[in-house]
Amino acid sequence: MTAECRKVRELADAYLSEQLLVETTHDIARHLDGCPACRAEFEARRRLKSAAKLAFERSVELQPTPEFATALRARLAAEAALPGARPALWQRSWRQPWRHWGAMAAGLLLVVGVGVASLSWLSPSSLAALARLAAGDHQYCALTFRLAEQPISLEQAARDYDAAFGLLQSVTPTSTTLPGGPLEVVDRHSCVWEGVRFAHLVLRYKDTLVSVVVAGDGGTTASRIPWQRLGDESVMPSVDGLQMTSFRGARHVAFVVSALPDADVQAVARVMQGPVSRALAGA
Amino acid sequence: MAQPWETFEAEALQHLDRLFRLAMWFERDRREAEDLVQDTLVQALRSFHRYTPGTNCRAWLVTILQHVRSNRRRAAFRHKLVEDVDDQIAETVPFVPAVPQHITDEDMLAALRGIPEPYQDIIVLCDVEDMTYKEIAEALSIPIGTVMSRLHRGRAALRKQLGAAASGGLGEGVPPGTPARSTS
Repeated sequence: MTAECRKVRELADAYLSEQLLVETTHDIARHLDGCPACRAEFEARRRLKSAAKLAFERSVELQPTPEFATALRARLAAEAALPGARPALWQRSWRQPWRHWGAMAAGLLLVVGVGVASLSWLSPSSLAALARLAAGDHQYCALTFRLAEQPISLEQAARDYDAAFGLLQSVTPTSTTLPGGPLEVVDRHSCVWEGVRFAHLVLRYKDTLVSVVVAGDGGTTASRIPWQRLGDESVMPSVDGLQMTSFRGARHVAFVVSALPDADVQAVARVMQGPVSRALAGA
Repeated sequence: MAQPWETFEAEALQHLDRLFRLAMWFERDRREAEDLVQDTLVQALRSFHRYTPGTNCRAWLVTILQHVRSNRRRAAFRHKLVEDVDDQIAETVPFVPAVPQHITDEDMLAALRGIPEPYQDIIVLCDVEDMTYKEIAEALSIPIGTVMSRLHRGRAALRKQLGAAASGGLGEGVPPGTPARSTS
């Protein structure tokens, strides 16, 4: 091996990674033309580099699952659909509690509401997967929403956190037949978002999912929520296609959120408000 | 001002699979990798107004992933100092064996796993992700010179591992042309 061979081989990694100046690259190429030993060494290094890349691309173990990819796209689409003041909205700040809570409720509904509202970016299979996530057993809830812990049953939440949540287990709408068709409860669980524990009832109306999320306010948060009150029912601004309404009891706040038109969300809220409020009052 | 979702989807989400492979390699645990990719892309979405269209979006995402990963490690008190590893490997890789003619995917991944993590990172980012030295330096917050030295030493260590696997021994080189154990 000559001194030039040693010098060329010192630059082999940079050469193969195309990190060298054009002049240096030409010098090395010229040397390789006339030096079989160095050419073989460079070829070996190129083979090593290529083998690493192929091993990664072909490894089954390293691939994401379709379910993960679908859920993540849903989460990102939901985040993108939130209002323009996104950084403030998602910071863990309670300086704007109504916006924070609104975002939280929207986040809980990301599959239910935004996912269905933004059909343009969803393939039919993705939509079906989203529906499964929203209406199923929420096995991906923690993944999708980056919750601190997995959703638990309302019974367990009642034992461990808030007795009122247990009473929501048997809550049903005052009417299961609304002007737009049947209303059914498809799932109930308790989950945590941004450190706040919720009871989460998932309903279906007009083939669209509607979330009712309930949280205890500890006697402080609800009194600081400044949205407009309409009797016992409060209306919150539409959030990028999500219609939201809310009502509250002495110690709890409930949000009703969906991609359905406001009139439909109000209709669902009307048949849920009484049963939910009575359940919460009985706690 | 945030750019539209469609732009983010077209520019960033096309790299989801590669980003996940990288995260999976780093974390060695599917759930951890999923968390890491999710945090990375959420962060990227929030910061997308800082991305310059036309530049290497994948490298930008990898940089965010590395920062997220670094913060998570720091939070978990699992951050490792790597300077000692450089010195250690410099002492322990005096001989660079030949590269086997045929390398199976399993052999390659196992050999890569067999070298110190800082070198794995560099090799994966350079050889698998095709990132430039400058991009790697920015992603890992280390000088370019360190990237180059680690890449050099890491590849030497990788060859040693592959040589050991091909020969069935430890650290013994394989003469060129030696039949491989299997082909991919």
